Amino acid sequence: MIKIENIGKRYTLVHDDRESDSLRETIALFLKDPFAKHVSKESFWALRNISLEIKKGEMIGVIGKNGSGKSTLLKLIAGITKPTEGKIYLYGRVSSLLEIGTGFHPDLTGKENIFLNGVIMGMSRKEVKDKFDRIVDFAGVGKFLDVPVKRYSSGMYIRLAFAVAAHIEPDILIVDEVLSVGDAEFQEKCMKRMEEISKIEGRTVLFASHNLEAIQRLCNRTVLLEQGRIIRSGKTREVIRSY
Amino acid sequence: MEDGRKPIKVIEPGNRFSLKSSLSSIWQYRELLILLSWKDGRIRYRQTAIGVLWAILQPLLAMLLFVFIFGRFQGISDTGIPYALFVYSGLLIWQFFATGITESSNSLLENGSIISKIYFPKIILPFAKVMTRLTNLLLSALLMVGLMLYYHYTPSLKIIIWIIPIVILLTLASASIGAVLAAINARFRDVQNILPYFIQLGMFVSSAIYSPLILGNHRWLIYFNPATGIIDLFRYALFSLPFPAHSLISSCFLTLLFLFIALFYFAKKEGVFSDII
Repeated sequence: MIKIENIGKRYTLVHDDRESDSLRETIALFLKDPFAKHVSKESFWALRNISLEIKKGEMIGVIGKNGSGKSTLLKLIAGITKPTEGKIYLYGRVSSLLEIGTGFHPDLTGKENIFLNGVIMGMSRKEVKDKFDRIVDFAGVGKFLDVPVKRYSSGMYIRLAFAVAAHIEPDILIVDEVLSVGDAEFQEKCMKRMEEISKIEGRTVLFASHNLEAIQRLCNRTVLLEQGRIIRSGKTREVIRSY
Repeated sequence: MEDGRKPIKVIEPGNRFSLKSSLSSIWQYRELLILLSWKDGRIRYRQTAIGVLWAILQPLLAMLLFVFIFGRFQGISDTGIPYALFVYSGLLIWQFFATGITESSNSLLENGSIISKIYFPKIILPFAKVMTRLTNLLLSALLMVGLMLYYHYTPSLKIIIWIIPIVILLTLASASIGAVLAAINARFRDVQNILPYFIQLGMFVSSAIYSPLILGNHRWLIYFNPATGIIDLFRYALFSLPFPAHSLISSCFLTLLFLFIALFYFAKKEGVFSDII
């Protein structure tokens, strides 16, 4: 379960009107007028007044245009960035899936990358070992396990990356727009796996996407973000209709 | 449902520092730490012609050069020790320290893409970089054994007891300083430009290539370099020199100081690095 209380995130943008980066010119400018202000700060709220409660085993959709704060919300829950105000209570182990293949290295083999990526995603080495055969099976790259992934086709690369991601088993899973990869057949496989994760295994999932069809299929409840605020929240069908 | 239970984790603004939680979060992520350092070692020598031989070649070539230039001076080495052995033992430690600091100071920038996608205690990045270098240290230590055989020099048995503390102190010193520099480097890239210069200078401000005795009363000058005490300790254990109490105390003090600054700063900035990198 996740309880989000009045969360806000403010970013500060720093504008510097000095065009040069060189030390010499910086000093020259300073000598000309030591008290001139070259730096102005501007802050904006990427997210504000967000409160949300997600029950165990529930899959919640997050929709909204680019820049509406979806990614910021997910990053806050994942602990990647700190909120400026508010609190988030997490009742379970969190894994974030903001990108597939995080930490993949092109020079490492498929097998090596499975271990590296798995542990980066929060699995223990033993967990990866136990799930290794299933991951390889899911990705369908069996013959290429000892080949560096830079020799993989882009399809194979994506399948391998998603296969590892599909086997992390946290209590709470945070997913950002990663299902729109691969061919239709692989996408269907991914959707099935997502359904399993929430409906059969009872994990709590927060799922941000532009793919309304996927949201409709997977989530009972959806929130709509606009300019960092929740403007609608409720049954997925109704929220999507108003979007 | 679970409302009565306590949350596993609460995310809120600001960071409080506690030594215990800092250390326990590193312990919790130890597998990632080991795997990251394994990865760096694995890719370092991919597609190189002579691979890990580089590890031995670097200190060996430096040693030959110093023997050629300084080998002829009286008193540059401590009594009874061939200068080649003396300078190689110093370079072994120094080069680990220097490359450890240099590489770890870049570790936050280099891993920006992971930092912005996954949560983990960022301080393990500089530590992973330094730990990668341990394989190199082992290989170049093997050459030390070879050199001793060549010079028919029998080392002191004290090295058996001291080798572990030496490696731990060396790793902690390099990683802590590297971590502090990495944090500064994330904000001000200037570090990358000035660091090589200071590293180059640092070798001469240490006991790596000459005996501290030649400095006379000004010996304390090189105690500001944390590597000095470690080099001295290594030579004490290897060549049965007098115990280097002063330089060792200085090294331990500086190491703990930097370690504490690093732990404190990284704990305070956890969740902020992803915004500034």
